[in-house]
Amino acid sequence: MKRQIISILVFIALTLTAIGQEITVRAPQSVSVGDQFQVRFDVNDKASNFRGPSFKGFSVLSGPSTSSSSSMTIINGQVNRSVSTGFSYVILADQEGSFTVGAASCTANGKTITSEPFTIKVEKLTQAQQQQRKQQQQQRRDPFDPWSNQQQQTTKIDNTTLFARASINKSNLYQGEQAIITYKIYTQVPISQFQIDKLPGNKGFWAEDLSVGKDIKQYEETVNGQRYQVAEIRRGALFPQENGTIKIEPLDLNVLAMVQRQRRRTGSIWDLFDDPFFNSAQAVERKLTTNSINVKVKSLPTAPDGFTGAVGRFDVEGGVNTNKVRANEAVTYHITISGSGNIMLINTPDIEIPKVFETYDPEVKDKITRSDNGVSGSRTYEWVLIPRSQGEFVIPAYTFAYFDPSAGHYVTRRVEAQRISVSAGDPKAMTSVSSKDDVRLLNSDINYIKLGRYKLSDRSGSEHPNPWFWIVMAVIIVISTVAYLFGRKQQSDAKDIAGTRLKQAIRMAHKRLKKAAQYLKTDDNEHFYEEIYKAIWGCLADKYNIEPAELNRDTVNECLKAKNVDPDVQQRIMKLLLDVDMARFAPGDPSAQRQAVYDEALAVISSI
Amino acid sequence: MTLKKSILTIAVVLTSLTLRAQTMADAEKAYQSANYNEAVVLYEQIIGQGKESAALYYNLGNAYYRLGQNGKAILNYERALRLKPGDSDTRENLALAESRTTDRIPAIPQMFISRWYSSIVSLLSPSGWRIVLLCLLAIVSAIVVIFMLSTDYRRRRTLVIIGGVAVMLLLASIAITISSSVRFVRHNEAIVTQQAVVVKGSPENDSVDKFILHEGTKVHIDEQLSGWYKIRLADGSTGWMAVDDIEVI
Repeated sequence: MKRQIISILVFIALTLTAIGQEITVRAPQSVSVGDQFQVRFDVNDKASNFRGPSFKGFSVLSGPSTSSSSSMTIINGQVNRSVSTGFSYVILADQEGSFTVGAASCTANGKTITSEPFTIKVEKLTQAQQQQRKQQQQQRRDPFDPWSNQQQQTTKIDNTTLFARASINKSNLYQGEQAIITYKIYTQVPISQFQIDKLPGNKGFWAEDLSVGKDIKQYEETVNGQRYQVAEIRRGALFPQENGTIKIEPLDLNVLAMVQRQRRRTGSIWDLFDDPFFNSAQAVERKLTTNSINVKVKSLPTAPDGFTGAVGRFDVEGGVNTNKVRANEAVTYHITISGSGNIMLINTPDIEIPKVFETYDPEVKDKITRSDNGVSGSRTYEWVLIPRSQGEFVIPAYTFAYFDPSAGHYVTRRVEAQRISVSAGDPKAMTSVSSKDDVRLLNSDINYIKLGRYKLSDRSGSEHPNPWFWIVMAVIIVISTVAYLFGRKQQSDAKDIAGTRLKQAIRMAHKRLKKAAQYLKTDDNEHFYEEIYKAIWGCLADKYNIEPAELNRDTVNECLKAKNVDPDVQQRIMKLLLDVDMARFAPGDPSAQRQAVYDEALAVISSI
Repeated sequence: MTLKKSILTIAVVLTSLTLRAQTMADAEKAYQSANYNEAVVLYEQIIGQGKESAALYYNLGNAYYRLGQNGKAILNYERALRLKPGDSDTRENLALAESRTTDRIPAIPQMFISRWYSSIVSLLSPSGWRIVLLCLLAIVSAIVVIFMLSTDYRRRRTLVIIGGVAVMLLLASIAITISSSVRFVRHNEAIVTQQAVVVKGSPENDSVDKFILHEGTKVHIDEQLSGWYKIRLADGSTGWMAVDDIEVI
């Protein structure tokens, strides 16, 4: 009671009347450790943009909260109107010492005004004070005092009214056994929101979050005789991976609690309004940390065959999709493990599939449900098998062993052996698998070395082209040049032969004609025609390169036509030849005709 | 004196020839009895004498492959292909050895024409292309000679068409022979023969590590600088490597 009176006195002392805009600070000068008190900044005008000081050394339980009031006084007919704005904090003194609270500022009437910094002394509680406080607390708990009860419920935030806890359903576990960890907030004050700051690392565990996508559960619980509102903020399944004692690190979270700010009862008429309905709630941020938990993990006893790490309670089922198949067509074999426990930590079962089947790594399908009671579900392994030849084959029985932690021993389940009969298949219907090429390449081996003797060459020599290359190239060029020159020579020679033969032929023909002229004078009929005949035929043979054996009228005729000789000349030649032949073999020809033949022959030969 | 000398030289050459034949037979025998280490030593000995052949490199590559030295195997297969580009045995073994290498380097896609060209060039060895060139040269000169000697118009026209095609082929074969010879002589490709090699940013020991290459990866040598090669990968990235880390094909 004494302390309260002192506080009121201090307040009065601090309250100053002011002219113009200014901030008035109302705060106690000295408090004891653990005291909650109010600090108030009053502005005698409308104010905004309030910037509070930093309360170093104190904890701010709530604030700043704004209130404004206006009053009107009439003194001797003079009306005085005043408006004021107040900003208040609820502060907890939790350390001993002397602390300075800095300046607060706000804007009033367009001006920025600043308050004076002030010092608050926090004193240690004396023995008597501590006792007094205890008494006060007991008094407050008095159920017949509604005010004190209410105050206790609404304003006090400490470790007894708001805390967080972690709990685990089993603290003695087998390696791989599932344990459920629950994080809860216990509170007697309303909470508007919370945020998890730091999740524990869960070293040594495989952790699964069970609260994903679920609403937060809320219920009431009694702890140490006190009722609390409990919010289950997180639930997880933990599977220990190591044995020994493992510590589960605490979880840190940040909570916004709603604090009812009460007006101080002054015994005035305004106390009528001191009702929870009028009280404004203040959000106060608190950091909470849960306890850490130690878990003892036992290692599993010696494992039987077929144990692949499953701990929990499982069932296994398996089989093939068909027992009859044609070669090169695919069969699928599956094993499904279902139950609750560390299902996602099970290793792939080792199944001896006959070599005749081409196999690939199994496809793994998980159906996992995360309920409040932990992780359960099923995992299916599916192998695609392609038989490459026909016959009867057996996939051996598969034994699946798991450890049942509640019974404390291993349990074995069995998938029966599967019989597959493969009939001859269509060789074209090869089931194609995308990775086929790789598989074939990996299975193939390198080709064998080259045997026998092979030619070695000098390493330095292979750098430069073989001289034979240039030699052969030169030979080709020389040979073609020589061939060309030789051909040219031949052609020109051939032209020359024809030319000289023609010249000789004409000369010969003229000689023969001269002889014929002599025979004409001597009337030697037989010799005359012979000379004429030889002259004409020789001339034609040389002119048109006709062989003597082929000389007759038909070939000459063809030759003349082929050479495009003037048709008129052709006719004359042919007629002359006919006349000469006729005259030679029909003697007694008149001499006048001989003269005509001679003239004609002379004309024809000159025309040729 | 000179006669004695020449007899001596002939004798030396003959003995070295028979010795080499013996070494080759021994190496073959060692390989057949799965004694791959010995086969490698013997084959390397023959190469150390300055001799080479595609089959020799191929066999050595096989021996290295069996010993698990993938980088050396690839190096020798590549050397064999350099001498005899069309050898299918070598190509298959090289593909197999390359499938076991660690580094997967996506090659920069080339223009299809340059891809065609380089695959045509590597169809035959440089000497093979020289033979093709000589054959085409003989054909072209024969056609030219016949053309120049013939007087018949129609025959000349046919010869012009055939000759034109032949001349084009000859020009192409000249170009291919030149690039094949240049490729053959240049020695600008190398294989990583160490298990893992750090490629540096500049030719200094304390420069930045750019990337790591593993055994069997083929690199292109761009430059050489006292003890360092500037290399380029198929994906275009470059760096510097110590001379000891790679072996030139």
